[in-house]
Amino acid sequence: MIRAQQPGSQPIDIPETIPNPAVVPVQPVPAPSRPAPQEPVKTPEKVPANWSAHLEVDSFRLQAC
Amino acid sequence: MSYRYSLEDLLALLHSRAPTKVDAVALHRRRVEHGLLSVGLKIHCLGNGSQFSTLVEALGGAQKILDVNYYKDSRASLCLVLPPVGSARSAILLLECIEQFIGSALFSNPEIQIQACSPGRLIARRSAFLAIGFYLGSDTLRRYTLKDLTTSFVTHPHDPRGRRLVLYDAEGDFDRNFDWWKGSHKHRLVEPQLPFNNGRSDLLTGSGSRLDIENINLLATLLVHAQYEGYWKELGMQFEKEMGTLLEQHLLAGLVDAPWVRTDDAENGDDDRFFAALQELVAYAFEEAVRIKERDRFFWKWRDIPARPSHGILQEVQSLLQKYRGELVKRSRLFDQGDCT
Repeated sequence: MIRAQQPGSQPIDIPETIPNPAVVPVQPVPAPSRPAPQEPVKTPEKVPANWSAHLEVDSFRLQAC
Repeated sequence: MSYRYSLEDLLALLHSRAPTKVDAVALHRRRVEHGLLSVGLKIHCLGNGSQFSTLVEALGGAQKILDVNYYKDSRASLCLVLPPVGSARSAILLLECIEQFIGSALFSNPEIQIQACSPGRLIARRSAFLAIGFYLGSDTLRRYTLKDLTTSFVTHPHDPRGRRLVLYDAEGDFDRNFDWWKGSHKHRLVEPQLPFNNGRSDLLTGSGSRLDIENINLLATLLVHAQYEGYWKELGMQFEKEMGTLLEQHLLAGLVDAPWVRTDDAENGDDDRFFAALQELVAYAFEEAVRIKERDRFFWKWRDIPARPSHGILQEVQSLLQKYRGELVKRSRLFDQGDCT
């Protein structure tokens, strides 16, 4: 507090800090107590047996165009 | 910045009390986010500093850690200089780790004065924008006395810094090894080092908050990029223009001409001229805060709020900071996704 006084008037206490009313206070996020568990390793999905045949057809079509 | 210990030493020490956060800082220590500037911090302790004694001893003792740094707040028992990190997020995490270690609050603690350090010496006008933007954007409105801004470098023979909110460095250690974004639009180049060998613009926040550190980092990035031809130059210059217009609308444009930073120019040596400008800003902000409070009390339904040409400077600065933070992050993400339109 800052005490301000002028001759002939009552002294007043002026706060040194006030919250900025234009700022919406953000609730602090509680700190994690333990490290996050590691995500399981994802195995790639199985590829259809004839996948390379599709590729060959597509490349053939491209060449034909 | 004089510190005679490494961040690794500090983190190893803090790990026992805050392992998760320390791991996060260690992992992202040099990671720059969205091309924002790196962040340095100094902690001035106005109390007896006993809460820091274990930390200081473990890092090598007061002689090695504290006494090497001549600079501090004139009221402070100690000034702990922290090694710089790549982002405001890492800087906040680092302070939280220290809070947990010492068992005492660092944010919004009147006994702790946080100094936020940004690389690059801003010219006088841009230093004014940094200080005014910080002040109006902070979650706390403060009244200052000149004593609050007195440091051991006020009348230093070689590097007099005066009593100011913004202070230049004293040409001490400088860590350049943080990414610097340059170029423009689609042509972004990431340099592994900052484009200057030395130089900082520091801001004495007083009892600072997380928001203060984030805001200062954003403001300094926009202004430093505008000055040093960085990737965010265009955005920075646009910000300067909007900030100037905003101050004009509130009849505060003249404040920018006050010496907000003590440069080598003798004309900037007048502490009183700066302090008069600061007091005018403070008075205007406090008056505005009272107006908002009264409006909320008497006009609690939005339709009862009388029409005004302006939302008030505090809300306008909040909106401005949000707008530029959002724009910077959006453009950075668009670039990362390969769409630069």
